[in-house]
Amino acid sequence: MKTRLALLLVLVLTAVSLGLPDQPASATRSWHRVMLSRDGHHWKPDLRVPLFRKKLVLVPGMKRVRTFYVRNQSGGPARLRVVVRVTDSNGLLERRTFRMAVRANGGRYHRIRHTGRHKVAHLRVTKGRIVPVNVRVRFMPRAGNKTMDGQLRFVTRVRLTRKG
Amino acid sequence: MSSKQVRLGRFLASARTRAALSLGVVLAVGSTGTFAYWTDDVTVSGTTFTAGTLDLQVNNLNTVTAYTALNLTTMVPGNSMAGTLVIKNNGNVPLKYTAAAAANNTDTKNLAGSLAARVTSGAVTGSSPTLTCTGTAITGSGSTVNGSLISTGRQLAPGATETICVEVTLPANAPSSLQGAKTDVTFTFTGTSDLS
Repeated sequence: MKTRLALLLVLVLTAVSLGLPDQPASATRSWHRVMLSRDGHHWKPDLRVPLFRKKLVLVPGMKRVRTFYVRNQSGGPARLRVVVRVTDSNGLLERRTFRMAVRANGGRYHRIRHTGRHKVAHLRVTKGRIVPVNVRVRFMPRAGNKTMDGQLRFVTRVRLTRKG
Repeated sequence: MSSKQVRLGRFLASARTRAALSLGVVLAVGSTGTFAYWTDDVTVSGTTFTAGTLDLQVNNLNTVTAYTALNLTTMVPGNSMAGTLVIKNNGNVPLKYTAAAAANNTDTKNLAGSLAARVTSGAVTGSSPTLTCTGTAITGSGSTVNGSLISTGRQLAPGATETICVEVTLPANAPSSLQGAKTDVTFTFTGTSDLS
């Protein structure tokens, strides 16, 4: 009887210990593993100020490119994912009068063609590596008067994942 | 049943063996949870792209239908008329504007072909029928009432206004065949978004 109880106890303890969520990950939540920078020299947990001006007014023919940098300081190799979410484009993207493209690490630009979520990069980054992310917008010269006052909002999300 | 089979049956039936096998199952299931992933997210937000609004107005209107400042019904050679127009950038982006004049000679005498135009940034001076514009002709302005009036784009910041003066003269050497001639002139101002 005692042996059975002992075995049952071992079983329960083992199951509980294996079933618990990953403790090390939650124990280090306060440590920022991704750092961002506008110039590649000064690093903060976020960019603090909008990548472009808060409300950038564009006219046909205008083109703007902004770059920010992502640094892996997770302490080891990790995977970096860059996702762009366009929440409201007023048809500017769909009519192809407004072009937006994002790239990471100098790769090919990923065109954002419609409202929604776009995974633009997913790459391996070594410890301490700095990855530039470029966001390019262009208001096509042929855009007509119908595009006046149209707005487009977007959010760029950077996620670093490291297998523990 | 052989003695080996009997021994195996007893072995499998024992509580210890069953407990050990159960542990193996738990370990197999639990091993999927040992792959821990650390993630960290940063969101870069706060940007709204807005297409600008371009609105060019003349005398605070989008269409001016009753501009009579240049009218003269009894014009003779040497007479001139002048009038001002206020050009306004009513949009929220910088613009450049140009202007063109189009004459309609309904009587086929081609009065417009003889009229001389001048555009300045000045004001109207003198008295009818010899009203003139002060100042020198602005850069890129034309000299006829049937063609380009301002060909070099003039920049206007959002909300800014500019007053131009248009002077129309019937030259002293105008042919007598133009007596009683009439022409209607339409000015068209075109604003274009400015990237400079």
